[in-house]
Amino acid sequence: MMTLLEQFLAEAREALAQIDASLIALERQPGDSQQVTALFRLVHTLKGNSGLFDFPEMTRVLHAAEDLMDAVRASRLAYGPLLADCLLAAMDFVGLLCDRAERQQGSDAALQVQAQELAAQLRGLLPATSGDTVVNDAADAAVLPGAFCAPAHPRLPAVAWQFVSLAAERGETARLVIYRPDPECFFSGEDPLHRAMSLPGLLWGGMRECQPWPELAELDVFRCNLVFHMVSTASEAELAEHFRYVPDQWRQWELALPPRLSGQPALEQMLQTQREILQLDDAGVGLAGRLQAVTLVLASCLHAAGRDGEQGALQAAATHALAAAQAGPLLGWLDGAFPPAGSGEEELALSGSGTDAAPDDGQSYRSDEGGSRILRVEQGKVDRLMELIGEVVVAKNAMPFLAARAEHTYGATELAREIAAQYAVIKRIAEEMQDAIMQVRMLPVSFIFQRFPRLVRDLSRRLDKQVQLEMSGQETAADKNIIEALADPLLHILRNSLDHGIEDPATRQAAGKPACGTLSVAAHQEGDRVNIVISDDGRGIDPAAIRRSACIKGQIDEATAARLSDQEAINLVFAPGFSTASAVSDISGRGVGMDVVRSAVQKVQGTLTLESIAGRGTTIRLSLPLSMAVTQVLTIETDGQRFGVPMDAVRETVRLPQQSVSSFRDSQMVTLRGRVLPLLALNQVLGLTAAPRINADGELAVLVLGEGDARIGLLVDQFHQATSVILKPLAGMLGGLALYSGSALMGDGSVLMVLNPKEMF
Amino acid sequence: MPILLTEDVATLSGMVSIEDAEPLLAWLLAHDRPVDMADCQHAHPAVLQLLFCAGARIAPLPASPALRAWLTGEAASVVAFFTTAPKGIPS
Repeated sequence: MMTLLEQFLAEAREALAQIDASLIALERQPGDSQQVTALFRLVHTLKGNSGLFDFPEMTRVLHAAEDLMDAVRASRLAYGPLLADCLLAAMDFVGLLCDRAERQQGSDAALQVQAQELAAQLRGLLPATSGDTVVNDAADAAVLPGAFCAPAHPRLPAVAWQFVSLAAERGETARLVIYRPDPECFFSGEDPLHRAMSLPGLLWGGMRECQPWPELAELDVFRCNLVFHMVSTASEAELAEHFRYVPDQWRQWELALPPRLSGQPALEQMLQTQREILQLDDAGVGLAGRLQAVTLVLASCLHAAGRDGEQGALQAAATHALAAAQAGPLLGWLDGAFPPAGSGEEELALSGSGTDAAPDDGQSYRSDEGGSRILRVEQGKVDRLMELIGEVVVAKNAMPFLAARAEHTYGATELAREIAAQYAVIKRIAEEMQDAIMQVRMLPVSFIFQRFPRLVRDLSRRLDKQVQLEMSGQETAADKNIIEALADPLLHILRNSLDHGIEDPATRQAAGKPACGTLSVAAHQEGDRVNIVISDDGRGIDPAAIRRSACIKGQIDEATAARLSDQEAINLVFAPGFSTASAVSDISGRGVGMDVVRSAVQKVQGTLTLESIAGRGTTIRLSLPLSMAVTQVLTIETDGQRFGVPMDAVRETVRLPQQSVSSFRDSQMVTLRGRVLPLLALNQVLGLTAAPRINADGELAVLVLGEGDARIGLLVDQFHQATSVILKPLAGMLGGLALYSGSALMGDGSVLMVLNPKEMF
Repeated sequence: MPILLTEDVATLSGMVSIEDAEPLLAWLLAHDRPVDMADCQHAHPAVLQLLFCAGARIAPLPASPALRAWLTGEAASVVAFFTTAPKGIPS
């Protein structure tokens, strides 16, 4: 079972690939509104999912991308290459974050800066009149303007760098801390200077203005216009602890030392130039001056490399050279002190894991290493495997005949026995293989359900609501296609329920409900369908509010709205772009939701119904086909043919004496355990003329089928074993036959037609 | 009294609180004179930003090494100062 994170990462990669493809397709056809909507949904879903984890950078960038796509979708912004570039860069960044998450690397300062820059870049593309784009994401609120987006190369005074380098020499990591107090903080009695001065591990601190100083007369003395820059050796955790009351007012970056000269290209280059100067062979005019200049430069180089102790030797060499009017002694000293490049001067081992290490703009962040450990195989390939194993199962059945022929026709008893032995082996392997391939395709719904507890927990905390999640039927298995198609719709439904359905505790109590809301998700298999019921006991959907909202959005006119029944009004939530939520959040309320949910469910031939009672709650029922899911069927025989009946519909199998059947007009019935059971001959249903067979004891075989409370007895000839089959829906012309749920390939290669019991009632 | 305003000098001493900011602003608007912070132990940032904004000359500087460290140099730009002499640096 994949963990939630692995699953998210796999999905995120898939979504990123689709986003990339969409972006590129859009660049070719910028007017493709379907593509724009699809792209928006992808980004929206990805953002929503990323919110489940502690990936603030990812959520921030995706949120910005989503806002941008929203503007494109609403035609407030034209799609263009610049926009595509920014979005692609943002998606690459998200990919990088996924890779890091997979390697369990946390975020670091450089990534935070990167995320802020990308988000700012994306938002920069938004049209200026985007006042209607409400941004109330906690992550975005934390992005403070100006002073915070600073230090790609923090401009710190030399003395501060000195501390950084001293800390590095002691093996400590220095961090730049920028603390930008809330301008209104004075009113709450805070003293930001005191907080700055008491920073743990403080090495250096300074303060400056945030906004340029106004004229003194216009200064608002009670508004804090200071930003504090500090260098500290405290750990990130210590810093976070220090600023725990003002978590959104500070940032920290690991400081990388500015390039030191020793072992650096700059020094090498400088030394090389001096070497070339010394090697000039025009003795005479200007030599003395040149030697002095070179000596000066070399002295500075020594100083920069922290080798002041060698100044004496340099001066001695210089004096010697000047006296001899030759560059030789100085050159000799130079080669001795700084061996020419390539001779292995020790590099200064200072890692620059901070901002300096951040990749440049335009560079791709996507690394080739650390690929996914989860193999995602194209659906078609698994289907092909399934078909092939079916053929193997059929083909192996030829072997017993071969054995019989060997024995009877050729009299090779020994050979026949060997063939039979081989057959047993092949049969076992083939069956295991079939099972294994089926396992590949089958998933329990817990695959999707497992992410619900976390989702509910996180969202209810964020929304300050109390919600109890009840889940049942997690073991209900369905085909991978179905399960995967369900994942997003179910998440949307849950988010909607939490966000819009369940009220906050105070409102609930005022309405006479328990403070803690209940959200239940139940799955069960019913015949050839998987039913999933999601219900909450929240505020329900108010048809009047829906009518109003739809009118305002111009989806229907008022006259139409007035004509709609309540249920019809409620069904308006499935209209594309419908949303009653006034604010956009990273939970829900973007107007992608129910329409996406319904179209996703319909895509897999599912149905979705929504019932809601205002004030009492909402129930959403999804019914999905099993498609390739394994179905337990009971095989029965009638008129020499075998059929399957889904086990779920079978209530019991009984043999009843012929005499107990009573006829009433054309219909027959029997009293079974005090209950009247109508009887129906399967032969009659199938249009066969043969009468139900009666066994030696004069008994009829009655298969009791149930649908809800209704019961019916189906007269058959013979019961056979129950078996697991892969039920395939009938295709083409046969697809119109409602009597059959589908067909299944049996182990012996025969095709079993599986009846649809619902048609019997 | 943490703040003493005369025609010649504004003297900040002890703990200067935010309440002292307004009188000091009035004084700074009317006088272009130095501010004596020698005996100042701590000044509320509201007062400090007032001094930065006014470009006031602070003389003498606070005797308190911590406050001095944060203040010294040119006001209204990043000011570098040692607050605590780290190990390994001769002071």
